[in-house]
Amino acid sequence: MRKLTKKQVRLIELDLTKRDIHYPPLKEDLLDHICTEVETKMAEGMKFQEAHQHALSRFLPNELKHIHSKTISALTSFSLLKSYFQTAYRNLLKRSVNSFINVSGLTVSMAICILIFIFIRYESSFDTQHPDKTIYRLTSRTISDSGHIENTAFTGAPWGPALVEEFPELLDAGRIMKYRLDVLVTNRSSNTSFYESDLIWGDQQLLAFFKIDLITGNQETALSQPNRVVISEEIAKKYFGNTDPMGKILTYNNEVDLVVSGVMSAMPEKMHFGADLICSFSTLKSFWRIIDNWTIRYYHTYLKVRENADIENIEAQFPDFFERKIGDGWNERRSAFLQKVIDIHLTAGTSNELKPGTNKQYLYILVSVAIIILILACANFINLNIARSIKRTKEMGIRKVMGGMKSDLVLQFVLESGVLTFLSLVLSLGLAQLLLPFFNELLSKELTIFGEFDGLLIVYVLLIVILVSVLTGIYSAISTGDPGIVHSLKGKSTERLGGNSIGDGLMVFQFVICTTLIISIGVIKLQQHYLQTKDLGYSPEQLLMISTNNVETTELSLLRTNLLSIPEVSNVSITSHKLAGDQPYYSSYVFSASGISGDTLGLGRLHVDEGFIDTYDLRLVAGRDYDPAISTDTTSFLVNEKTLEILGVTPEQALDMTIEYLTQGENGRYPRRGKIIGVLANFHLESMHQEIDGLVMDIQPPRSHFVACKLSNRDVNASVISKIESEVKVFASDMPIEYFFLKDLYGNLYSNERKLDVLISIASGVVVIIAFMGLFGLVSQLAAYKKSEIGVRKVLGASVLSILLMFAKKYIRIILISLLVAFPLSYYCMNSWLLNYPYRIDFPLLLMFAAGLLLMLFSILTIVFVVQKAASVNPITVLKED
Amino acid sequence: MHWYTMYSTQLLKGTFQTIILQVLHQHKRMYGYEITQKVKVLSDNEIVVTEGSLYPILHKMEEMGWVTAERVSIGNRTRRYYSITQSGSSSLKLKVDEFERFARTMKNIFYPKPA
Repeated sequence: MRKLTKKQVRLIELDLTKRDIHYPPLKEDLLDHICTEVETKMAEGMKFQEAHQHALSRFLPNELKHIHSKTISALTSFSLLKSYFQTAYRNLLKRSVNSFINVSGLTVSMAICILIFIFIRYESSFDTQHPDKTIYRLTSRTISDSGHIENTAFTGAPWGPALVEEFPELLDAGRIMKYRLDVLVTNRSSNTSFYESDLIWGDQQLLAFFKIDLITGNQETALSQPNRVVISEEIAKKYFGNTDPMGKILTYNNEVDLVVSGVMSAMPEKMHFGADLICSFSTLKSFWRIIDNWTIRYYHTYLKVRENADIENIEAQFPDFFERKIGDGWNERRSAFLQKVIDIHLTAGTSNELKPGTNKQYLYILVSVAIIILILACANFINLNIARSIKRTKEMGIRKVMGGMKSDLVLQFVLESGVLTFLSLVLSLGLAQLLLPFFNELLSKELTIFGEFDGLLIVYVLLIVILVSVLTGIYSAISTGDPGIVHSLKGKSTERLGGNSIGDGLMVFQFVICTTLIISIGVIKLQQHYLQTKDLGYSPEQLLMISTNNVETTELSLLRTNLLSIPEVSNVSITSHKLAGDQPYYSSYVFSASGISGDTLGLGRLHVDEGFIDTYDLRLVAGRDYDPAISTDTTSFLVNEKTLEILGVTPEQALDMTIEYLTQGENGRYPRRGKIIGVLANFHLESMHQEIDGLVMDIQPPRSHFVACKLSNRDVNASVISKIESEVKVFASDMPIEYFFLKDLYGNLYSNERKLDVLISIASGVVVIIAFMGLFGLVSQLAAYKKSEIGVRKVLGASVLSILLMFAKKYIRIILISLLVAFPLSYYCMNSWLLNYPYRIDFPLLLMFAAGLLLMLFSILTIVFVVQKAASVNPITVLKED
Repeated sequence: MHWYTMYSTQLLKGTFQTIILQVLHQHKRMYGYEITQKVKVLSDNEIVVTEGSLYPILHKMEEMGWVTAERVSIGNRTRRYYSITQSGSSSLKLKVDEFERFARTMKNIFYPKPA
């Protein structure tokens, strides 16, 4: 028996469509049934037309429709839905290439969003394990002359207890002190020592404030007495093996014995501070004699506030309190405020945090990028769907003309995009899991997607799937089923496309986002580059740094001489700080000029030596360097230009001035006084995020912590390093030697920001790709619609070029509009971002225009690529189809 | 077609399920049109299963798991072949038994045995 042709089957199918038969299995059955009947009749000699008529005439007018409703009313809605899904799935398989493009765009976008989500989930969950909302941290603030606000986590040691005494709303205080360098801890009985980076000194209150639970030991008293230490299980194992550590002794820095009074489990990673050893704060009194000093800020203070207390009111009384307690050392440029512990991690720019925080702005940028990616991917998904459904436009048109129901059409679209979205979701989870190792390496984190069960994630994801499906389905159905029906029947939809405002709007949106992102990334990169390459005021090149903590003060000069005898070492300087991103000490200095008592200023304090200026290549603005031949120089001072600026004096005046301040010596505090002998050009001691402050330098060997060796040879080889190492070893006995290059340390200062930059750049790259995929889709769609118009024009003698221009005109207009929006937008956003940096670039206007131009160029290339293909088709082929 | 009319739909209504299952039971797999033709032949044109009866029943039985459908592409369209399942066969047995008892009962009523 001869089978019916494709066209004949389509015709019969149309009959069924007209009669609203849409339940897929029944439609298949009836189609086959009628076709077989027609084929039988044709085998008996009937013509198709006749057989078709005959087959249909057997049915009463509404009979088919009746069969349909009878069938589906007998079935449960579950099996109905299942069957619709199966059909959607089959349809998609049939158009696998198109579906693949659709799915891959959505998959990549969703995977990126999932990764961003878990990153943000991680970053925003710091300090959520100890949910006591009444714990605040005291943060101090200094406003510089230029109006730059600097917050520091450092406070004075006596502040907390005194505040609790005075303010009834403040119930209790807990303090932390963490020395800025690694400290030596020894178990004398087994002779094991290690340098510990996570040893803190803390009040008993901390255990309750931060829910630090002890496994053994008394939770209420473990740290309430001097010379007590609480250690983590890991530390217990490290120093005491498998024996019970309780009551055993650990020695701090070979001078202070501490009794183990408790063992805690490892502190959660997601806290704004971490500790392996917590020594009782009260121990400090015995050896850290500056503990009572009100002006030295080196401690972290946490306050328990009475519930529902008026925080602003408490803060308002702080200035008066500090003025009374501190007097001269406090002025109107200083203040202190209470900060929620949960906010600490995401508050950028506070210096002296116990752990580096994350800039909240970066997270906001990431969230917006994720949302943009998702929106663009959906927009593309919709556009590609429409492009695909052009092929079905005729069918849709007929259904509309016949008065077919729109609802089942919409349903079919929604289900099809639902299946695609769901598929993308599953794939994107896989892709995200696949990308996770790289992602983790990039951020040096150990994030997991499924590690912790997250109801929120599931709800979000399902919402996205539903939203995307419904939006896409409805939009597709509306756009393929709206007024241009009659035109679509004729295959001419030009009028509708000419004014396809939704599509154009979508595209302007995409381009605005694209341009803004490209410009923003450019500005971020330029600013980072600027921070990396800005003149530091000294040269960090070829500087090998070694810690001198274990070298006796009296032997430092001998060490210096020995190091200088190494031929490859050209200069040596011993200082109290490493110059990359370190935090100077602060002291109150009294400046006075011959006979007149002068200003008291709180300034940074750095201890240096005679080799300082030469080794670091610093620039002397006025005066002279230290001279070993002049004996008074050991008590003389160097200051930086900023100090003169604060004082309001000229270099000449400054060289007449005397400085006096109190310092800590072997026998308690004593005043130091001396002349200013030199003024240095400003240099960066802290990171570029901090504005250069006034700085006073003098020689104080007991406070030397680092020796810097300037290497004359450009290629540093292991033999030089081992020579230097062995020289230091002579004085540092068996202690392990730690060395590093200052340049590397400087490079690491901004590594956190660089990582986030990379993340944002990758995500933005995806946005740009998706946007261009969208453009590609839209232009292809237009080219498909205008197939016959192109054909007619070509027949009438139009060149490919003129057709190209016709297309390009429309899109160039769209891009120009987008640039007009994107330029001011990105200028506004990025300029305010730059204002966060005390040292920053000017907004790069050139970059802005270059980005615009580049985008324009790429778009034109895309259009040329698509249209050229459509325009080179032989017009006869196209026109015949109509 | 015979000179007398076909069985009334009223009478047949309850038996369509049994008939379709029975036809499927005798053949490995059949498509809709084939089933209607088969019933026609078997019943000597006495019983006509229309599309209106056949398909709602087939789809309902598919949902209940008595029959399964297999989609086969034939040229330019898809044909759904139906075959009976295990549970379909057992239902058929019950239905046939029930029908036979029913027929016996009816016979007893119409032709009562002489007392």
